Amino acid sequence: MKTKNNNILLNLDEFKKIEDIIFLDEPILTHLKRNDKHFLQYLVDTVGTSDFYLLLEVEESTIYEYLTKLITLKKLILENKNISFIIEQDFDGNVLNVEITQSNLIDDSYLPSDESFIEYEPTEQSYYFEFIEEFKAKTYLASLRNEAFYIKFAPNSSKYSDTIGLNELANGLLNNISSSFKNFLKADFLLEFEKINSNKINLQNIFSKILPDLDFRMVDLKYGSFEIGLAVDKVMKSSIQDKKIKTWALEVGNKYKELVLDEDYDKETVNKIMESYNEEDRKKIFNPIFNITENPNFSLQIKNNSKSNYKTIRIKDKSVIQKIIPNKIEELKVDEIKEYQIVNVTTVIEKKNSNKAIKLENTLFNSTDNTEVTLTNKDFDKYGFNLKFKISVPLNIKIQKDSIIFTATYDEVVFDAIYHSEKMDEGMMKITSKIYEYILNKIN
Amino acid sequence: MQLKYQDKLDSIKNCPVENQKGEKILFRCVENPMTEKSFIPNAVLLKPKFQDNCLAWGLSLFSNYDSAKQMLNNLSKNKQLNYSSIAKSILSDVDGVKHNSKNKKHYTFYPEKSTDILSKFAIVNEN
Repeated sequence: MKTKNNNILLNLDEFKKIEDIIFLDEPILTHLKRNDKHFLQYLVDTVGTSDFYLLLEVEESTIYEYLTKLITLKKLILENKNISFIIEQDFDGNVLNVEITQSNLIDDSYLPSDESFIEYEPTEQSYYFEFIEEFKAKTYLASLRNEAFYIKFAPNSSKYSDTIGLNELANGLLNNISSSFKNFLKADFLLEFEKINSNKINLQNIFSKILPDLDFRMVDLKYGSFEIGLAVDKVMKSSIQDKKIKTWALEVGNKYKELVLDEDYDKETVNKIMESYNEEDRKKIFNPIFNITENPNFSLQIKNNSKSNYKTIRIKDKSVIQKIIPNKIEELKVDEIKEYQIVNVTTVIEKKNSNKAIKLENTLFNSTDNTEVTLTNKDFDKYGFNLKFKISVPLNIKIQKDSIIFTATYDEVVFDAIYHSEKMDEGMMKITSKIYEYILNKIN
Repeated sequence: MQLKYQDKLDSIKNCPVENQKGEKILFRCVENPMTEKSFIPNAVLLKPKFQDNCLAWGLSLFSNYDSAKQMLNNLSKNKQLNYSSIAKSILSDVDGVKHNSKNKKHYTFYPEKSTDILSKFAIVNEN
């Protein structure tokens, strides 16, 4: 039953006008605000000397959806849960009558067409210029956060409570995860598409083009022990034209999480890893992760969303590591020799050539300037520093302009050395000697 | 240049703002057939509440056919009865003043006093 009420007093002057959204010789749809609440005033009819307006209280987000063509005006009106008002106003602006109504009772003749979309393109003077951009950013971040998984990197020692050192974070976690993920992207891309397109150069070109869009988005951050929310972007991948590649790009981040950041490396996951990736790829993907999980100084934890609980990534059965990366220790030794060979490449390219990238054989990345190795007793022995116990120290070697920066963490102490590129061996000796001196002082 | 309703425009501060120069193709929602009434700012002439609204003394035009059609679709079914077609015109600076509103697709056009505005528009055949 509809109830008319002529006794409601309504002063439209108390509503602040934000902007006319639709203007057709007169305001048709106007955005109003009162006490931080948003309203739309919609001219629905003119009879005799009266205009009839529908006044709706709406969420700001609904206005955003309407202005960006996500919903129609008809849907906005019909799905509005708030009480609405039908206001009769004379041509002088006096309110003659106010009727309370609700969405499902609004007369059809007061409603717009089913296709009542609008594409509002605001100028810089428009209230909606910043409003739309801010909302876009907010909704984009909110949608990514909904899909995000979280990883946490925490020290096992209580020396600095649960805080983590900057170098530990950069070298111990971020560099390893990033390197593992990049290697996974490359290996998985070739796994998926080599059977469709056997032209390796062509595949490499495609991969290089889409690589920037494949990165995880960092959508949340907590410090102390370091927590980071990572999500796969689904919006920006619209630039990838090929449907199969796009589907792969949307899934590969989750696949990485399921296979590489698996909390217990159960039999099923390990089998899938073994079936999918060759030994060389497995080494590049999993070695950086095992460097974290097997480091007694830290723990790596994961959770599926912001509300779930963290689970530590722990491989109880060490034979699993051996299975994924056979002869891990030998492989690491080979790595050490390879990783020390930092090469500066000088080449000649045509001045007009806009593509300055240099193609290197057998790699999908143009160059690398950051690498992780492990210092063992052999390295200490080489420089005459004999230790009576087994040692394994992760060492980060980074090239910056003409310098090489060595950074190692041992016993929660950070050691560093900076050398010019031609003095690589001196740098290795210096960082090794610093750690050796620290050990001697500690023993004595 | 003398514009239609110049005396009314003069009584409103900064009215009209001319921010679009040159020749431009613009579209207007009209009844079919068009008459001179199709190019009269009826709302402001009838409703004193819009007397001080500069935009109401001009004619609402749109930058393309689709935008004009969108506006019609967004009118209530009652208000849609006043418009059945979309007309198109090429307007230059001698025809009047063009003002681009806060929505880039909406223009307000203030015709020059002697411009025969009806003859400058032609209804767009939807087919």
